[in-house]
Amino acid sequence: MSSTPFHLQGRDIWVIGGAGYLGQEVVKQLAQLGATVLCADLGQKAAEAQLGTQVTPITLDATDIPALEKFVSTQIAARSVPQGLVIMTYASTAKRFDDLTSADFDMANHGNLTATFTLARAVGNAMTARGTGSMVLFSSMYGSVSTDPRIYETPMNPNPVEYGVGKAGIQQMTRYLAVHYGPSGVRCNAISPGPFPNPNLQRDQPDFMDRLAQKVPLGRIGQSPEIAGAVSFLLSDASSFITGQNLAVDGGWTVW
Amino acid sequence: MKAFSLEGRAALVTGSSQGIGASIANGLAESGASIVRHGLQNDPSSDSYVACDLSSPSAPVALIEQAFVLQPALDILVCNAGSFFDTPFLEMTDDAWEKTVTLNLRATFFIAQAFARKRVTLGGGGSIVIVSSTNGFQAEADSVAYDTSKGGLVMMTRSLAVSLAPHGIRVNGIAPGLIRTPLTQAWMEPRAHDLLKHYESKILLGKVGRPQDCAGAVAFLCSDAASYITGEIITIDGGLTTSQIGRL
Repeated sequence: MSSTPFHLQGRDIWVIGGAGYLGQEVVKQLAQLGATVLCADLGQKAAEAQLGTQVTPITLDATDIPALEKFVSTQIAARSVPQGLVIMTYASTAKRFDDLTSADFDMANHGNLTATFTLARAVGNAMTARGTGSMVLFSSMYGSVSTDPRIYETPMNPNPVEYGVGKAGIQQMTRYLAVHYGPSGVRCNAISPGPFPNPNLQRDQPDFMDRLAQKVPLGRIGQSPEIAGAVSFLLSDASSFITGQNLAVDGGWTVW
Repeated sequence: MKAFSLEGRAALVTGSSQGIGASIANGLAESGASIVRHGLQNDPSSDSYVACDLSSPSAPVALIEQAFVLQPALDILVCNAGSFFDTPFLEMTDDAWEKTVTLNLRATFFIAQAFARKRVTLGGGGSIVIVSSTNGFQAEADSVAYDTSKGGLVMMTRSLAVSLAPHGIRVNGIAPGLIRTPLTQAWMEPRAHDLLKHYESKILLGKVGRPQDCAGAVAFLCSDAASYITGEIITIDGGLTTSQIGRL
């Protein structure tokens, strides 16, 4: 694979929120393409995921800003500045629209935006000093279009407002970071996944899966391995002239 | 890494005798695809090459027929052929407008249709990539016909994605920004000598793109690594359109 522009041989890539349903697939593919990976997630999630010898699991609560800042400086001292950074963490509540308090909304914005900004700036500044690097932030189709409440049947709660608001913010953060860091050779792009419901939801809500699939031109929900290619592409030299972009991996959800 | 491989696939790249098209064809070949190239003039050095002027009404369908003769399992189409015929808007002629929409829009539409018809008779599946431009969504002075045609290709990409999804054909696009090609060289030369400097100052990554900068995105979009991506346009512009290009 090292003969193709998609290889990641010799790269160190940090994946924050890398032990989740989509994160694990990303981490696995990055390792297959030759990267060493630092996989950070809450509690013991990263260690329990057992993602292989190229992957170093570590505990991180990205919403804890002092811990986040210490994490970046400690890991740079230990591993050096990474060639790639992938931020897959997010925050939201399971609350209904009318039950959401302003404190809940602040908390979600903190997790989605403040934590992402703090992390991206700390790592981005370090990448700048070296003059190269690629960051991939995770937005969502719900950062571009609204949830359709009609596909959620009682007692399901529609995808909540604070989630999409945060994901829309990620799209603009991506453009800002791209402009800020571009002259230093550091690229920043976003990925907007479409419907990738987790296995429990797939099992428990088969009718909902059909309603989701109906909204996708490709006629089906996404399978978790299908998210990884876009991340690898944006981290690799195959995308060396691409920055400030938001790439939808959504089966066409946002096209119609 | 199997997900990015194009082994066993076959691709037609229109307008691939030079510039971006040639680099795309090389990139697809590097990923393992068999290639049918196309250009205006004959290329005696290649036995997998079709020469024709896509402005002629029957050429799009004839090109696809010949491409399937050369590669019966053709399953990738890259619609790259296009050109620039604009003059300052107040001087634009019927002829320049017609040439633009005939080559950039009409030919692309009917090449895609002929390819898709053929793929459907073969059971569906496959991948189309349409080469539009950052001019498809960010305006430039005295480039009205070109900008309009490229804007049309942006929506053609999305609309084809929706129309062909039931047949398992994914349709995506790339939108190159300023890339150094024979076409952009010819565009820059008669214009203000500081035009290039102006653009370079707006490109965040600090350099005009190279044709090969477009190859990776196309190879990715055609591969199984992009199996859940359709209707997307990947902008390849070093950040040019992330903020404003602005006045010269």
